[in-house]
Amino acid sequence: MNTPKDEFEEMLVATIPHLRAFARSFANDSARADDLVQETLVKAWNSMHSFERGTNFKAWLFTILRNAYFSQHRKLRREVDDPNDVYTGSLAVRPEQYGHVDLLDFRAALGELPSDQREALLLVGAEGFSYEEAADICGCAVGTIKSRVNRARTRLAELLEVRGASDYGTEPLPSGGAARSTRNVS
Amino acid sequence: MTTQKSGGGAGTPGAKKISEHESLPNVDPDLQDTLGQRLREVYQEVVNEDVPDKFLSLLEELKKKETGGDSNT
Repeated sequence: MNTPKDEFEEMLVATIPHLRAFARSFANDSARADDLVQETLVKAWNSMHSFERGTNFKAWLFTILRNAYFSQHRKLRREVDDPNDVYTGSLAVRPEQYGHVDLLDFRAALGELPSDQREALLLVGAEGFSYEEAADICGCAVGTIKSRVNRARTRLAELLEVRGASDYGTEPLPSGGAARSTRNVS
Repeated sequence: MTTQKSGGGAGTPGAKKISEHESLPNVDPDLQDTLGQRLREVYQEVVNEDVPDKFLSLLEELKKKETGGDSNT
């Protein structure tokens, strides 16, 4: 029979991949990110009773992970910042499918964003949290999240438009889609 | 016990497309869409990685501790 504890464990296990992806945006290598996830699991397990059933479990866990990170790193913050490593460790280079914005360029640009903007963008744009949920997770106002997301999007576009232009020429995108060959089009 | 996550990222289908955000001044809408797609790809790659066994072992340990009568750790 499924006890509440079993259910809790199942939900926890199902969320691990998402915790790892979110942690990767803080920690600059995957081993450190995984340490953070393990710490999160222990904390979550020990505060199982404080999770209110029916509320967003993933948001609850993300909040724990974020707090764990900041309580560890408040003192050392920004001592080591290696943003270009964000998401690069485990990602294979794949053949271009869409062109124009190369994945490596994209990851580098993502790594150049201020961490609060990157976090907001990942929570909303990649993980699918609402602005309200992201605001709860980050402990800030909804308007703050919206503005971080918009600044992040604008900055990414600036970074990649410049790179795209220098790498691939300045031709406009073809109508009907963003796909474009990365081969020399000039 | 398998550690493979094959369900395909429960969170990501809900991720907002860039086009569902406010449009940004001075940013090509096609580029915005591409960036949103890239963002989800980059993130999803990590979500789709196999989960190392150490995480499940950790949960087993946590459970054992409890059933072992020492719940104050």
